[in-house]
Amino acid sequence: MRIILQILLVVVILTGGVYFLFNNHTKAKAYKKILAIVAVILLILAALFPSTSDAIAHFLGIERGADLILYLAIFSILYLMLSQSLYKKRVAKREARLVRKLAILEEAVKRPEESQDRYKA
Amino acid sequence: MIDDVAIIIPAYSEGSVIRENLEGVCAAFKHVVCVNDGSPDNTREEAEKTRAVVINHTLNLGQGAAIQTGIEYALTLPVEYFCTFDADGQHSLEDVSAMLDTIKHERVDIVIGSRFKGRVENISPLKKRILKCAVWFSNATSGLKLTDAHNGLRVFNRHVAETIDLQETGYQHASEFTEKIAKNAYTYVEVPNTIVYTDYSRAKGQSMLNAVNIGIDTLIGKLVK
Repeated sequence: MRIILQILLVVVILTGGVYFLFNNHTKAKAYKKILAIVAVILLILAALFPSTSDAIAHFLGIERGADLILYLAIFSILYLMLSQSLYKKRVAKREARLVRKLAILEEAVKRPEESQDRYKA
Repeated sequence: MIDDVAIIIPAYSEGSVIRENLEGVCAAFKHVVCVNDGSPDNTREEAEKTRAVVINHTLNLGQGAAIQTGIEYALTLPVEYFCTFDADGQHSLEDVSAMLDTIKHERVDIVIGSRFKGRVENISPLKKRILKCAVWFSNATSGLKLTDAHNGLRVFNRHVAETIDLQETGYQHASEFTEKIAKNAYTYVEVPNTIVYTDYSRAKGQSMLNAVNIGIDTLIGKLVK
């Protein structure tokens, strides 16, 4: 059973890593790609050899490897939430600029002579 | 007919009242710009039956974005002053004329309407209290001393229109407006104005709980900037 879970975990981690690196995120910054590769390697190691995460946890003063992974997962989720929210705000600003520009252009097309006179003035 | 001011009216789902309200404004002012903010109803069709210039957002962005679009369009008109005016009929045209007189005589950059210096009709005690809290909060975050923080009735000159550049698309634009008055050092005066809360405007107006959203968003906006 444990082997099956480990294989499943490795497949999920690899799929997530590959998706991050090659799909949608081709424009992601280099440091994010390096972090993703390091995270994938560490997660696979933790899945295959749980004692390594225990050793790192002890080194950092945390009792169990599982706790260390939980803390890292919480930090990652919070970071993702914040970065997604900032990204959403940036996209909304761009969308607003686009819609506003389109609205004004539409009006200029509707009344070309008046608009030209006004812009000349 | 007054021709040196552009009246900017953002409208969202005001199909049942927009035509009547715009006709009233068009009778008194030459330049009227209505920004239909992606309304799902017949606001656009009704507004286009009047003499007002109707600009259409293809998506609903929010009142702040609609006002900024109106300002950008109005800057191409041969006017000296700009006025933001609500579409639901709660503002009065007499107040706009009085505010225009004030901006011309006092030579300030912006004249802001104040409900609490003037008369408020049919306002609930809860709304009045929340608005007072909003004033306190807005003054604390902007450093200004206003008596009404979120009044949609404002008259300003070309300098303000060219430099205000509202970034907040929703109702938070009112806080951004007051913050930019402080930041850009616009000269301002507040004048009393009358707001009539009809059953229609009360039903359409934002929920009082939204004041909490605006407050939190303003604070987060300040932290993230």
